[in-house]
Amino acid sequence: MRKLTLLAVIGAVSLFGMNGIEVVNKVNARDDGQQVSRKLKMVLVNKHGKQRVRETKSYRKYYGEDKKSIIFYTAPKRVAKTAFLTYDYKDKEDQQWLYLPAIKKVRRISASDRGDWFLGTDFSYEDIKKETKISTDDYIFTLDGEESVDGYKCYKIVGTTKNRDIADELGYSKVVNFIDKEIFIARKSIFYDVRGELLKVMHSQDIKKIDGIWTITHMYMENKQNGHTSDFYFSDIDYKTPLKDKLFTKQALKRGK
Amino acid sequence: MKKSYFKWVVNNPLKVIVVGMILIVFGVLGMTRIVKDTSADAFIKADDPALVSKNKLVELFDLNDPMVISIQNNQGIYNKETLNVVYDLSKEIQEKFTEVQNDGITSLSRQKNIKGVTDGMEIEYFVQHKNLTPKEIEEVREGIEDFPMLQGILVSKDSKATLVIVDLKQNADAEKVYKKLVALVKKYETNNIKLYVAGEGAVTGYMGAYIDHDARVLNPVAGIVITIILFIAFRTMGGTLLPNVIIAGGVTVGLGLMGYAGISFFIITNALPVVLIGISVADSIHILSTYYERRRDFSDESINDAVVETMMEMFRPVTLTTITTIAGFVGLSLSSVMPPMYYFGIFASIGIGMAWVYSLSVLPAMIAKFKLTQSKLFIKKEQTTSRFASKMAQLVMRYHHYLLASTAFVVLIGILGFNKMIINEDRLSVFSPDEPLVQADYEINAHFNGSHYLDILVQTDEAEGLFEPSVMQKVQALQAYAKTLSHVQGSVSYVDYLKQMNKSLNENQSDFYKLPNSSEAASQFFLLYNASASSDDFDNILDYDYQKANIRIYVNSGEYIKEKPIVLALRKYLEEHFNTKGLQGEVSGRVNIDFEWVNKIENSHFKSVAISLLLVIAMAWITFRSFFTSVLVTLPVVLSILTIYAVMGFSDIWLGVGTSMFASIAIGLGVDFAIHTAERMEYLYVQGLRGFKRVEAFYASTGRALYFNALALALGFGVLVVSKVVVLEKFGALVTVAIASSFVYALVLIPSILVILEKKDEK
Repeated sequence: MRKLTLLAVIGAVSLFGMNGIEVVNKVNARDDGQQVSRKLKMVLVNKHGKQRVRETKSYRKYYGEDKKSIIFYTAPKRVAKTAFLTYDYKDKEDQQWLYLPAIKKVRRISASDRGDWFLGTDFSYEDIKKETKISTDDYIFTLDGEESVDGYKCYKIVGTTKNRDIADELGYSKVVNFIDKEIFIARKSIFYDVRGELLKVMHSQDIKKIDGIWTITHMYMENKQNGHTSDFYFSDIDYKTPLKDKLFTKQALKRGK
Repeated sequence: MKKSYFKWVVNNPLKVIVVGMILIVFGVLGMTRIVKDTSADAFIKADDPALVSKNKLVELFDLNDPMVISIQNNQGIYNKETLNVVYDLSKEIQEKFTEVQNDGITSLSRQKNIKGVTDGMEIEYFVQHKNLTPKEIEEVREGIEDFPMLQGILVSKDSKATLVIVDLKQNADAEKVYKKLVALVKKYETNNIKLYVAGEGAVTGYMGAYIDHDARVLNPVAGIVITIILFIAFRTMGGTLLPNVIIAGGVTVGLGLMGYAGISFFIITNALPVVLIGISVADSIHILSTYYERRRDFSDESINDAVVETMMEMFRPVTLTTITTIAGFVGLSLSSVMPPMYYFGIFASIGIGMAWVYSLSVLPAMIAKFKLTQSKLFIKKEQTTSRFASKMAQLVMRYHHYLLASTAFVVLIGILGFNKMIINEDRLSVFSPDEPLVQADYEINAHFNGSHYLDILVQTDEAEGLFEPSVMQKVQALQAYAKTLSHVQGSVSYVDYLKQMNKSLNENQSDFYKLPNSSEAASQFFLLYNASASSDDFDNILDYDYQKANIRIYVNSGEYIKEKPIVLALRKYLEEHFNTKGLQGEVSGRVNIDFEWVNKIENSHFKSVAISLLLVIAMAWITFRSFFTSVLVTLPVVLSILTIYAVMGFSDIWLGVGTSMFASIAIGLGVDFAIHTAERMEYLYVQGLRGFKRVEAFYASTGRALYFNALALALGFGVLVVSKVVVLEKFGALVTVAIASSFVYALVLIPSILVILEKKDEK
């Protein structure tokens, strides 16, 4: 079996002229804007069909290889003005603060682990942080041919975590990405848990070019183990308007921008 | 009609035998389809409100019965050695057990601490890695001390034990996982550290293995015991082996049909084969005894004629006793509120019916086909048993007044015992007290808040209704009230999380361990809590739109008499202080189910006794066409039931799930002795025998057969005493006493009463 896979990989390399890591590098080289402001509507549905809808306004800005982001909740009413501020550093531990309007306090909270669930959704903090980019430090990639997803030709890239510790940290032992051959965005990703069992499937839909940047406007993640789903709808996306540094401060958290 | 049937049977024995064998094969094939159901829920009807409510709760809050591993160290758990075990064990189970849910482990290394610090809060695992430093260990200890909700639940209040709670994907894997966990934890034991596997999931899991083991011991022992009795009774190869074919017919067809009907094998079903073995053999003993007597008395008769005449003579008593025995089991089914007992009654009846069919077809066919040789024990009319018969007859003739008077004494003792008897049940009492699982449960209840859960389902009218301050206060008050009840050790609900959050967000000041003051705050706290929690983290305490919640109350006893006051008190409290427009609380969960089904025994047991007695009287009345005789044959079983109540009352045996079944079965079986006695005494009267001669002749013939019949039944049921399932052991002991006593009462009282009546008639 392994031999066959190897042959398939060699075949794939010679056929398409790219290997797994090269495809991944192309994905990571894609421009995703120096800064972005956007609205995000999260529709979360549990296995009984019950729904939670959360609406936010969020901002993100790169500072070299570090980045800062802030999320303000706008709906439902009871959680409106609740906000999270995150500093992601390349070389040191991330920092995170939150503001709860009910107690009118800004609180530092310990950085989330990479494998933690992002705000009770089916995405992990790492999924969100990478913004559809793929970490080359964590996985070994192989190209497993081509497949069509939603009518688009894609490279099938199998990423296997480099070791058990990384798998534990991420909560994944393997991720299969289907990368659009033209725009180098994952149109579908399949995640396997540390035991190798199917965990989640992600679909990217309504991919549009906004301000010259290919942007996913609808992401759908389904947890195959607990039946929970998350739909992320992005709107009012703006890569152009500059964002002031003071937006990414504790004062801004409290101020609500 | 009957005669021509029996003639046909003895003339075509092979056909009858072959059909009989085919049916046995059919039964065996059916038996292979039987599946076990050892869950506690199996004891209650699927549409029972308590089970419906619990299932709703399970559906809403994903409450499967978990496996619980207790890690104990008498030196305390806050040391590197113990915390390493917690870390490694949690990791190994999560990685290797595919039956366990992803994120299905709750332990110190899998539970996040919410800790308030000067400028914020930290949310991280209590035990983040192996080999914690002394400083880190101290932080774990402080973290638990600051997290009241986890005390007594994740870590014992004396800090000497901590739990690893394992949630399975499906309860069906419980048996397999339990076995694997028991094997796995051994690896982690040291001189200081002991591990115990318990929890409802473990009980269900272990029960399966337990039943199998038990059945493998019980059934062969019962078969061997019966065969030995048959050998002693007849001392012939045929007399010993042929009844075993009848047993096979009754047992395989009875259990086989259970398999075809898709009825599960419950824990008490384990007694069914043994019961059928004991009962099925009775008809054969009577038929063979009569056959041997006939061969002795009419030695020039052909074997076939002897068989036909024997069957003609025995058809009526054998049929009658079968009907009354079935009546007892039907009484059990009719009055039973629990599916296991209902089906026990049904399939025991079918098995007994089949044994009757075999006794009236395959048995005579085999006697004819194999030309059964005469038993040496029956060659001489004057045998040792006759000496015993004369002694018994003398006793009855001389002392019948005293014998009758002594029944008053039995009644008195019975009533006294009945008053002392208590209705109680504990699911763990199924197992022998020295079983590791029982030990584990004991340890967990000794260290933690309790392994028995009572759940209260709280429902509001609208989404996020649970965050209304008035609702949160009511939930808090309800938990405080529950804590005042005896055997309630603690409880957990969403308001405990809110209080913990409030404290953490306020620099860990204990003054802030209180409810948030607005619904917005509650809503935002949960949003924050969810910030790093899995999407299904709160599934077992809150529904998705915060409209319904589960309050879990921990009880440290599984005994009905201790759980009953808790359930009743909480129901009353909810009615009087909690339920209002837009807010409803409902008692549910395992403890509520346990309460409901044992409570039903309390109500159904006596109904079942009454139904069985009425059925037996009705059957006897129809057959003997005499109301007096029907009451006469019922008298010994009434006395034997009173005897059992006395035994239970004076030796502290609870009237519970298994033991409550004894009465109907004892009635159905016990009455057989009385019927055979009354029938034979009447036959002898018609034959012209009077007084001493009549009584002596009775003891020498039917009396002897009844003796072996009673012995087979008593020892057959007596085999259950070696069962490791305590319920069956007690059930077996009680039925054995019932059989022995109804045998004695029937053989002493009925001749005594008939002798008195005979004397009156003469006057």
